[in-house]
Amino acid sequence: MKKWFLVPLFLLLAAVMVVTSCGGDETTPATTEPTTTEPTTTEPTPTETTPEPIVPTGTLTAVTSDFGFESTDPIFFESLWGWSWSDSLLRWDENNNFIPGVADSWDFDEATATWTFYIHEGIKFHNGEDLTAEDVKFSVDRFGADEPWVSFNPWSQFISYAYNKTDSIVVDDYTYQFVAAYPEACQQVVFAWTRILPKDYFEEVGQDGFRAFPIGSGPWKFVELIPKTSITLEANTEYWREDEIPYYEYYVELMVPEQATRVNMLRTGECDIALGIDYDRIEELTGDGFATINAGVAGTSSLSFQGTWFPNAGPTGDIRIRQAMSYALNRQEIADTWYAGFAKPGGQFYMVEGAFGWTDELTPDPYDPDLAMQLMEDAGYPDAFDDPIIHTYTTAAGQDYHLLLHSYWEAIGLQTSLEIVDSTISTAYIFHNFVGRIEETDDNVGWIFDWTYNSYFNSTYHCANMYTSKGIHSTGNDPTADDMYAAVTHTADINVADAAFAAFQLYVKTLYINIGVVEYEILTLYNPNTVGDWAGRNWVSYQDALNGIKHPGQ
Amino acid sequence: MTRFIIVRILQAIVALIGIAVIVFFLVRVSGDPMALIASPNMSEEQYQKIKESLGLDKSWGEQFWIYIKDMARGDLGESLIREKPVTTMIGESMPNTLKLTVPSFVLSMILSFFLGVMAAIYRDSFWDQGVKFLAVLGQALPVFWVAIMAVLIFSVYLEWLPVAGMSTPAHYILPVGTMILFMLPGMMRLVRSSMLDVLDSEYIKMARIKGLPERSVIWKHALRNALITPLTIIGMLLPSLVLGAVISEQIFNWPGMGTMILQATFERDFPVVQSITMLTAILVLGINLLVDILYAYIDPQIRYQRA
Repeated sequence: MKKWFLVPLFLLLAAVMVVTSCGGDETTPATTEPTTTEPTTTEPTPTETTPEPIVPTGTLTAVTSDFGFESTDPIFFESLWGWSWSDSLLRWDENNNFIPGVADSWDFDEATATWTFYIHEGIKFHNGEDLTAEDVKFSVDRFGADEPWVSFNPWSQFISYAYNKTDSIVVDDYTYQFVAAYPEACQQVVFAWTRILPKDYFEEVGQDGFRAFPIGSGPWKFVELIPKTSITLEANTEYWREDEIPYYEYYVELMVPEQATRVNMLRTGECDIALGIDYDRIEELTGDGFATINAGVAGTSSLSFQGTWFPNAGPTGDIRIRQAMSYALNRQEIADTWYAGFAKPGGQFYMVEGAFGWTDELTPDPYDPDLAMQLMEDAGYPDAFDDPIIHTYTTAAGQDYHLLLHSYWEAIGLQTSLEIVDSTISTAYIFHNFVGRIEETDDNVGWIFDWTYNSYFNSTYHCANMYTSKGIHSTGNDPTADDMYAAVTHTADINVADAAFAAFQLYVKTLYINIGVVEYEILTLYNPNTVGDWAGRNWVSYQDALNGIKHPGQ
Repeated sequence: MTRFIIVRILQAIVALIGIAVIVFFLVRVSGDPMALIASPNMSEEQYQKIKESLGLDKSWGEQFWIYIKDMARGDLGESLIREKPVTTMIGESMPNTLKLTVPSFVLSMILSFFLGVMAAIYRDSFWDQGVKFLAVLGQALPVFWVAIMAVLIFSVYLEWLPVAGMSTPAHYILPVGTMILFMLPGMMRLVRSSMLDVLDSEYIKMARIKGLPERSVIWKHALRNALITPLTIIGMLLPSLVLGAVISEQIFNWPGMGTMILQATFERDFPVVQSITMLTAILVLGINLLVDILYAYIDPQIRYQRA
């Protein structure tokens, strides 16, 4: 009678032992071959037969670690969801060419520095109202307004009155003009980011009402956002680009902070897509038959040196020490180990191979510890410096990566110190409390931070902050770089701007104020048994890829 | 007895004020939330405007006074990040936490009392050994590991139960089970040892000699006296319950108070962190007060001594 009680205990113990000893042998979906889907182009191509109309069915469920800045207002750079239910004025293709958004075409009059956009007729917002030039003007003006939107949007300032905008005109219902102060081809980047909001609806419900229930003209309609829990979208079956109507009727994104839970939900079929999974787990799961796709531009990891021009910058004030730090890094080893092979040496700040302004001359520094040590000797390191210790800083989350980098520097004899700071302090250092540039008396003069983030198809405006003497990151302070940057932003010809940006990139690379480490893939993990081809605009962002995700076998 | 209760209530109020002071200053020492809220494009004027609107431009002393004044009126403030009243946020997440913690607490108490008493009665039997083994296992294994392993076994391998969410009764089994395993061992061991002490006492021997039925000896006379220590511990168990909820909610993606306080801490959302901490403190002090009263009720010696 008493012994029966031991049975479940033994079973529990046995189960624990089996699980812990067989961790790698996990449930697999029916397809066991690892699958990596390459991004697919879906730009409209002329066809002779009329394609079958898309009828959305089923629910696509994704899990993510954090909603981050969970705003529904597309004015925010961080509100990537806004891409799903809004259309932008312009778009860009796989090769970084600007292509029509809600504007079918556009032209630029160099004499008057005026952009004229011809809006596609017949676009309707989700409430049935027409999208007109009034909505475009409203959206562009709001996007460039000098208001505290509390956004990290790096572009809005570039169409504000303070920068290069003198007027905003509705010519007729479907013609809109943006008058700049001077020709600037790169402003098309900002137009490609500006999403068109319904003016009347916005004014009727107010900003808070709009944020509570946003409306756009995009392929998805907003249904519900439960903060820090879930967001639900519904397919817009009336979407004006009929070939971009979503294949799924609903898209549900759940916030699941715990990675193990996200992975297990993917394994059990409780979700179809898992975002924010570590590379080692991706390797394991693709081995078990799950698939990945590159949705969005690849990421880069680079190191930035702050306030190097100040006399008290210490060793990093000497370019030879910064060069030595670059040559000391074995980038291939970092790519193979830290990034589990899903990365390669290289990458500039916010810039990956093939991006606007890219040139093949932007090669990563080789791993050359001997040269690094020679440079240190030439610089008289460590004796030439009062304080030879080189400081890097990061948050607790980034400490392991920094320790890896430090191990390379210590191997060539550099004395380093890793400062683990609170995320608030880290942000304050990187942006100098948002109120100006670094000052000589600040703690972080001469210190180094890493910038590991998704890149962008055109990083012109990001680079202003990293490389020019007005940049908020307090890393650039070189008049030649400022002049070269001005050349990029003061031309009406995008090809000239492209060439000027390449020249600028080659130049700023020689300054060693920001050194690229690796370019890594942004992988989205999914279950190929429940999710089919990704036939959307995968090169833009995950949110833009959503409406192109098909059902298996579709 | 009335004097005893009044004294204990006054002590609880003093403790609450102390906690309020500590919590208020500790969250502010952790950093300035403006660094997370502000934008790089923002001018100094805009920065100051937002700081002012959030009341962060005032001195800590002024902020503390506003905080105490508002709290006394039941106004817990507004979340700095989500721009929602904290009371609304608590109102949304508290029911979810209660759905998880109440059944976990009740079931674990029933189980721990039953198993603890049985282990004491059948001392050194297989039953007792099993209870001791379960207690050691439960105390040695970290709750997050148990939760992840439970998901792996019952959801991924056996496909019996869902991994995350709270929409069906099946969703409750793993999180509640994990919470039970978190609370059960300590209480079970305590009940067992307390019961063993009582069973060895003279008055129990006397009761048996007098021929009282064994059921009456155990459940009426022994258990009542063995309850004193475990009841005291129940009050102290409440913070652990909150801690267990934080972990369980995280693993099982349960949108409760635990998840909310974790996020608020990372986001430097002062009003949310302060409010949840204070709420937990009030609960703990309230339960402790209740336990003290029960304690006096169960053991008349205490009542008479303190009176």
